[in-house]
Amino acid sequence: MDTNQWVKQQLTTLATTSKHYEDRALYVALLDLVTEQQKRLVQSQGEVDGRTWNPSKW
Amino acid sequence: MKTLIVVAHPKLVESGTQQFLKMSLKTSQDVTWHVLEKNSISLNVAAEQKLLQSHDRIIFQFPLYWYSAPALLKHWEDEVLTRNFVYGAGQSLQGKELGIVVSTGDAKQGFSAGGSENYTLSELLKPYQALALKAGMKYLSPFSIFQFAYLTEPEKQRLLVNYQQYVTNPNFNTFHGRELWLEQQLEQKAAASTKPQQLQQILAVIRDNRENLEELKWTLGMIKDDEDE
Repeated sequence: MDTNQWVKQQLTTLATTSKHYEDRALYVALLDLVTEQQKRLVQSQGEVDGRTWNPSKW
Repeated sequence: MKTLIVVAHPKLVESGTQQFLKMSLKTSQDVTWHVLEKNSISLNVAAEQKLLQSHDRIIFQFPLYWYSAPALLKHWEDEVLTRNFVYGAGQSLQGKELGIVVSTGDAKQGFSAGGSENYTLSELLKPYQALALKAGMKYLSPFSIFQFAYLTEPEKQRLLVNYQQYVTNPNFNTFHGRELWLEQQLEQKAAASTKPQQLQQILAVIRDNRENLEELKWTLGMIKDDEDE
């Protein structure tokens, strides 16, 4: 399994099983963070690839 | 960073929103929860000014009453924010931050041009922005809570963490700032845990993601600079 998927699975469990409300809220926020990080990583990598493939600079 | 929350709510004990916000901060340090009392006829101005001076981020927290704050906040402002203290000889608030936490029973979509309220909250809260400018303070984007009673459980959980960040995160308004703050929270959670391995592994992945993003951002910056030439 991809490490990010593993992390999301762990956080999903923690967000439902933790005893304290404040802790569950933190794990929800961390889950949102990892999801956003993944999205940005894909987008940034795509942008690097796209800009590197620049025929006008050939 | 020390934060002062000036809470102005005429019916504080009955307010579910305010109780929720207070509960969000129960384990936080460096945060002062300062309630303005409804029946305080004469304020101890020197003590209030001293309180302001000893904090870095000042937050006015109130429900929206007729597009403004309840009268007790205005009364406090008129008494405590004296000319010399704010912009005369003193300039005691210079360099500090001013934030607004405002709640309203009206829906978010109403606060726009053409909406039921016609004006955005940023427009309605202009007097505070003007005050911050006059005092040499940095004005923070207002933190707004719409229809708290109708929020779902996941929305409330997100509100809790966003509010904690508005109060305690020096850079809550950037993604990078939020990454660092959340890492710090998780680190503290792991340190206090009897089984820290799982949390430490999660932290390591989040940190790696952040560092990879920083690297990609740097690479993109280089490419863009190159394209610009």
